[in-house]
Amino acid sequence: MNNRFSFKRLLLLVQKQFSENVKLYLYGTLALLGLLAIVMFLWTQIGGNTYKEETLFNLYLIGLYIAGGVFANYSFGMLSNKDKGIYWLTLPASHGEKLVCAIFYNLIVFTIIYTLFYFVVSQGAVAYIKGLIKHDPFKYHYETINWNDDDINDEVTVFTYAFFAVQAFYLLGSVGIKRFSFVLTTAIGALLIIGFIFFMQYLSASFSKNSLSFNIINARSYSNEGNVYHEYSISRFASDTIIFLAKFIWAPFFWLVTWFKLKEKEI
Amino acid sequence: MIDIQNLHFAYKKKKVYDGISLSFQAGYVYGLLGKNGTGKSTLLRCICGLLFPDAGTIDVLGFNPAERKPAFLQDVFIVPEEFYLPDVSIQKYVRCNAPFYAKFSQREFENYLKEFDVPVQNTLQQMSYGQKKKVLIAFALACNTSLLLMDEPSNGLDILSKTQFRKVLAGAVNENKCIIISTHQVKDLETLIDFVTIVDEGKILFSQSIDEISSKLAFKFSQDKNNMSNILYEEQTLSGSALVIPNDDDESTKVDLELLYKAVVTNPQMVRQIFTHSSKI
Repeated sequence: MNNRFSFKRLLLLVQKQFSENVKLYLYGTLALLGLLAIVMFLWTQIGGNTYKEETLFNLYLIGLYIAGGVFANYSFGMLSNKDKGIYWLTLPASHGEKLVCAIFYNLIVFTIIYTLFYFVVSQGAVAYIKGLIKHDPFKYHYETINWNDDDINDEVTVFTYAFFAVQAFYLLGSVGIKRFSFVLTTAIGALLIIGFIFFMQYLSASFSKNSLSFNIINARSYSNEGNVYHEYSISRFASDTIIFLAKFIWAPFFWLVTWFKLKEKEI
Repeated sequence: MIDIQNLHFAYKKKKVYDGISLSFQAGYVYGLLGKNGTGKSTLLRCICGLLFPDAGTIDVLGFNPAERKPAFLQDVFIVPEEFYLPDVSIQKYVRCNAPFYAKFSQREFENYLKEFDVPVQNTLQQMSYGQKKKVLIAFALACNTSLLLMDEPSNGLDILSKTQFRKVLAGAVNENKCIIISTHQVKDLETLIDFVTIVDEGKILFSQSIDEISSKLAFKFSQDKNNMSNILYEEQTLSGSALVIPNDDDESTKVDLELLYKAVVTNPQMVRQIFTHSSKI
């Protein structure tokens, strides 16, 4: 018997998770739909005369991050309750399978459902705005996003990776923190980000003292007298590696820590 | 089947076990007795991998329980005192959980439910605590795991249900299965238990088979205790005294677990002497 990972057991877990939580998912989905409808209604009513697709996209991202965080934080909520924790931990499946099942529902199912609902509701709002424009083309305007723009594509890519990382972080919070998990995870996340910003500012200030401009992978020094210009940079391979890790490492890193926390979990 | 060596366990500063060693064999029902807070449930949770020992080793069916491997978990079932069941029908509960247990028998499960007289059309959340417990016990037995751990299984069961429980459990015992029951309500399970283990103050105070107990101790009721010597424990009742005495005359008396427990807890030295002395002979 494979004690590490079995797709058969994973499939059973996915089915079990859905069957036992179908009511909760249904109510959650309806609540999400209601919230999105309220947001769209407010946007159409207080958006002024010029509506921007960019606002819609920003609203989509804010909702995705908040709702995704809440949903991810609920994933291992069973472990903060003794009775439920025993039921969950003694189920014959490996910790890896249980984690992958949670990631599947968070990252794939939730994201697809949220995006689908957002698309449907936002299209309703856009249709309403287009109706306004048709009725009064001089008063109302709708500015679309150029999705072929490289900057926009880069932005979408960065937000997608960041979303994976944020979800993974909240998933970890649901295992590691027993009470007020969402609030505490948010607070810890905020502290880490603030700490990182301060650290970078400190580094940057240290480089400035020596008349260097710094951006993690290289530093430049200028001198007006005699036109001295120096650039200090790490190798291309090292800089590519740092950029790659900075983009992709966070979600797998948090998943790995979550897996260890699950293995260590005692009830 | 279970081999515990030098187990140390503590909750932060509260020491629960201080180097106990124990073993449990297949084919028997073990009764784990002890005061509140002596660590009976803790021991069960260590055995099924929900808690990890601070020191010492636990070997269950050749596995280290703390690893919680699927092959181990599918051969062990714990019925906790306070338990959780999802808000689904019995059929759905079985559909979701039974595939994880290789030896689960649907026919046996249905028979157990029938024996327990559980209304199968209700969802689990609509059932009373006792009915839910019966569903969980029926499921636990139908999983046919080699090891079944039960923490206060008769709590919350009414008088009739306790009788049903004894009947069902007696029918489920076989030579490949080990059942460990932690309980305060010894009277409920007296007829089922083959081995008695008494836990107190982080130590194993007593661990003997019922056969051994009945060969070495006599449980008597007497109106004139003056003729008795070496009384290990006595309890006054309205019509006389219930006594635990050494079985010097090789009498055959029914083991009263409640009296045994009180005798062991109040007079551990003498009880230990009787068992140690006899085993040397």
